[in-house]
This record gives sequence, structure tokens and C-alpha cells, in this order.
Amino acid sequence: MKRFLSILLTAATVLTLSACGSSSSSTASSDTAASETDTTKDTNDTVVIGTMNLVNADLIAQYEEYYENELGLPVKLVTFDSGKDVNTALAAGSVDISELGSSPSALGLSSGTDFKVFWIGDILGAAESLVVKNDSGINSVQDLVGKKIATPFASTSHYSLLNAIKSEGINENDVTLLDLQPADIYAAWQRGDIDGAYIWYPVLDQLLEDGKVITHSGELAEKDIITGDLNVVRTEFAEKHPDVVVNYVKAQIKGNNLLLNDSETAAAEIASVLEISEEDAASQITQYEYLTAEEQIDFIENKLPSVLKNTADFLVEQDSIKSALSLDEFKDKVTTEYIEEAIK
Amino acid sequence: MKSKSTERKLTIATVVIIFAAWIAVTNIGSFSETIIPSPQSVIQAFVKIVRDGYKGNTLITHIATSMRRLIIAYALVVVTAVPLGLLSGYNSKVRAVLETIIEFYRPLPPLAYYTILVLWMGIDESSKLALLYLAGFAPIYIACVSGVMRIRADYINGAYTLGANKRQIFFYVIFPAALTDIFTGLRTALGVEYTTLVAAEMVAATAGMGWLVLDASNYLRSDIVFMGVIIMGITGILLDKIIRILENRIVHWKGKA
Repeated sequence: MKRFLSILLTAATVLTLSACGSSSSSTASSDTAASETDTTKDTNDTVVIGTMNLVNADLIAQYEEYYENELGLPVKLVTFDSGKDVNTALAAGSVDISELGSSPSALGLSSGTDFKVFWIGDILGAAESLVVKNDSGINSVQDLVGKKIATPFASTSHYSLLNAIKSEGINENDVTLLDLQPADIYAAWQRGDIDGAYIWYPVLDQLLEDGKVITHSGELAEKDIITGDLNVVRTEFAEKHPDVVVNYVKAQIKGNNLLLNDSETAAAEIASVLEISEEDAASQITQYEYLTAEEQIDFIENKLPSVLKNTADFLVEQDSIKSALSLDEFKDKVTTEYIEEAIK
Repeated sequence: MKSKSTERKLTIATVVIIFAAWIAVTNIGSFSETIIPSPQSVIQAFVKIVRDGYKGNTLITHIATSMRRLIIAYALVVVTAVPLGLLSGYNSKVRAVLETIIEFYRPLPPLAYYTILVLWMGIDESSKLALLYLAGFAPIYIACVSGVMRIRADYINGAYTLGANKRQIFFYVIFPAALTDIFTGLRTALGVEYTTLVAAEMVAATAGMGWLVLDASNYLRSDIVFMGVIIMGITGILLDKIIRILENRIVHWKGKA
């Protein structure tokens, strides 16, 4: 036993030594590279903004450089491809404020990541749609039985698709659901491997060349299956820099005003950031609903907690997450204080 | 013999310490379950998945699906890469043709060309197998080429002097002499294929260990991710062991001459 202990000790020493070795070498390297030291220092008073380049006020803010000039802190803008990555970054504390879909928001909050929803980027309309091939013989959600439908799992589209199926009384197992990323959806569609997909722009537009829309998130919203893109802030950051969050909201309000009052200019600016045509951008804008600051306050107070709760409960039902927060807990995770401060 | 048992104990001690550190860190409670799930919750996840399966498939199905993909692709690699590699080592003209292609695609990250494979071969098994095949091909091919090229010319010349023909030289001199390198290639290839498995199961998979880990990470289920990674690690070690046992049987002279 004694012998075994001494071996245990040796192994422990070796492990600690190797750990020390690596950490000391990394400090040495950052000392020599001055610029590197600077960036590590800056992380304390830099705000990391996450974007998914969703068609809403965020893109206007990017075009007008509101983030760089008006937040009151140096900004680092990080682009994410999916809500999954934003959630991971939030849990790791490496992004401070970000856009995040309603499904990933509900799931991130239920998994114990501490952030607050303080703004609603958009409510999804026709921007996310269930498209099927013209020759697939599918004319309604009912016809999906026995067909192959693709969507990126864990997204708002996935949530909408599953709910569309459920609301028609179809058993989910009667439809073959495939987990495909947007680019792969296009590939599979081209080859005829799938009959349809629940997806967003730009793949949505490409599929519509030989496809048709069966239902979309705007229609589902009327049945109270609401999905949207939210803006969230890590609680720790919000407590430390409430003014930055308020400035961020001000930037969103300016962006929203442009979207609501001068959609032509808004489309031009969005087109320039996304490098798409102005017509595309203009048609994109019509597929979302944007809320004014006053509407936001009403929505956040009265509707958002139950939207998040429904979404989280659904994910539990799907056996995707262990447990959902309660409605009261979700009420604590949404806040109107930054909007109220911004419009004062 | 004595020294070997010390090393064994060191190995065990390392594992014990990692586990102890894991338990200690998670019990202090300063990390959320998402960042480091506790061993208890990983075990709970394991028990639940063994009992109820994960998203419509049992754990055995998930493991078997991945193993099937891995083994089919691996078998295809072995029967093609070994002969082509040996031939390339033996014949500089064949090498001139094949080496460029392989040197070109070998360093490419699989995800860079996966969508193209999907476009060509569809979302079913064939594109997944193709990705695994490409991942495994290069290491074996390269090992075989270098195995043959390292054979001392005296062996071959000696055999010629004794009247052997080309065929005999290939099967009785070159092939056995290159075996050690071939096995190194076989082991590396298995490792590379294994690391590609998650990528291969990213597209339209509904079963498989790689898909399980990816899907769980979609939902921030770190407990299931940890469980999946541990299972993949263990099966990886087991597969490697099998090849090592084969190697010891077949290349029994290794380390003795």
C-alpha cells in the first residue's frame, strides 16, 4: 500500500510539474510578444458582441458602426454560425452580448447558463419556412407522413417543424427527420435525397426555385408557436457594465426605426453588409416582424416568458434537455430595464 | 518484470488521479454542470441511455452503427491502400502517379470537402464511408511506400542472385520486410479514421457515437458528451489493441532482430 501511495505521489508530481511547465512557458511567450500581452489585458474592458448576421437592427448597427463608436467600450465583433455556438460561448464566458434564437435561448437558460434576454431582434415570419419539392406530392403538413424532411437540429426551424407536425396530430416518428446544416440541405435537395426542408435564407430562396412553401413560422406564430431572435447579455457583464447594454439597446432602436420607417435605406444597408442584392434584402425584411421599443416592453413582460417556457418544455418532452426552468424563473431571466433606460 | 509492474501502477495511478481531480473539482461546485459535468451525472446519463436509448436508438445500436461504418471503410482501405502502397514503393512509375494525388488531399481537413462528397454521393452511407476511406487511405499508403523503400538493396539483390523472380521477391522479400511499417500504417490509419468519425456523422446521421456526441452538444448536454467521448476513447483503445495483438502474432520477429 505504501508503495502504491508513493507511486501515486510520483504520478501526481509529474502531472503538476508538466502543468507548471506549460503555464510558465506561456507567460514567457506573452512577455516577449508585447502585443499579445495587450490583448489579454484588454479583455477586462472590452465588450465582445456576438452576431449571427440575422436580418434585423443588428445589421444596421454594423453598417452604421454604432458598435464601434457608441457603446463606450472597445468592441470585438464575433460572428457565429448557429445558436449552438453562441450558447457554448456564453457558457464559457467568451461572449458578452449576442443575438440568439428563442430555442437556443430557452435551452441555454435551462442548462444553467446565466444570461438575460433584454431585446427582441425580430419575430420570425416567412423567413423560416417549410419548403417541399414541387413534384413531391406534398400539399399540406398532413402529407409529410412517410417523407424525408431536413432541418438543422436544435434550431428555431427544428422547433417549428416539430410543432407543425405535432399540431396536425401526426406522430413525429412517421416523418423521417434529418439533421442537416443549410449547405448540406441544398446538396441533398439537388440530388433528390430529401422531399423538403424547414430552413431559412439564403438556402430557402435557392430551394424555392423548384419548391413551394407549405407553412412558415409566421403562420405557426398565429397558433402560438412563436419563434424569434433574441438579444442576450451575460448577467455578470450586465451587472458590471449596465451602460454598455443600454447603449447597445439604443443602437438597436435606431436600427429598428430605420427598418420600420425607411425600409428602402435599411435594405440597402443590409444588402451591403451581407453582400447580397438590395431586392433580396428588401424581401428578407418583409419576412420578419420588428417591434418598437414600447411593443418590446409589452412583449417581454407579457409574452416572452411563456414563449421561452413552452420552448423549454418542448425540449424536455423531446428528451433533449434534462429539465426546464419554471415560468417564474424565466420571468427573472428577461428584463425590460435596459430598454426603459434607453428610451428615457 | 519488476519494472514493468511499476509502470503499470504508474498508469493506473495517473487514471486514478485524473478521476480524483475530476470528482474534487466538480464537488467544489464552482463550475456549472455545462462546463464540467460531475462523474455522478455522467454515470446517470450512461445508465439512462443504456436503459432507454438515445433519441430512438439503443446505445448498442449507436456503437454498432459507428463500428460498422468504421470497419467497412477500414477494410476497403486495407485491401486497396496496402497493395497500392507496396506497388508504389516497388515501382517508381506507379509512385509518380499516385503520390501527387495523395500528397494533395492528405493535409486537407475532411470538413473542407465533405459537402462535395455529399453532393456526389448523397446523404446516405456512401458519403460517410467515402470520407472515412479517404481519411484512412493516406497513412497506410505512405507507411507502405516508406516500408518498401527502406528495405536494404542487398536483400533484394541477394534474392535475385539466388535466382528468385520478381513475383517471388515481392512476396518473400519485400512484403515481409515491410510488414512492421505496414502495421504502423494500419494503426495510424485507424486513429485517423476514428477522429474523422464525428465529422462523417455530422450529415444526416440518426445513429452513431459521433452523431450522439454532436447532437448532445447541440443541447449543451455535457454529461452525455462526456459519456460519449469516454465510450469512444475506450472503444478506440480496444480497436488499437486488436491490431497490436495481430501485429505481435504476425510480425513476431519485431524488436528481436
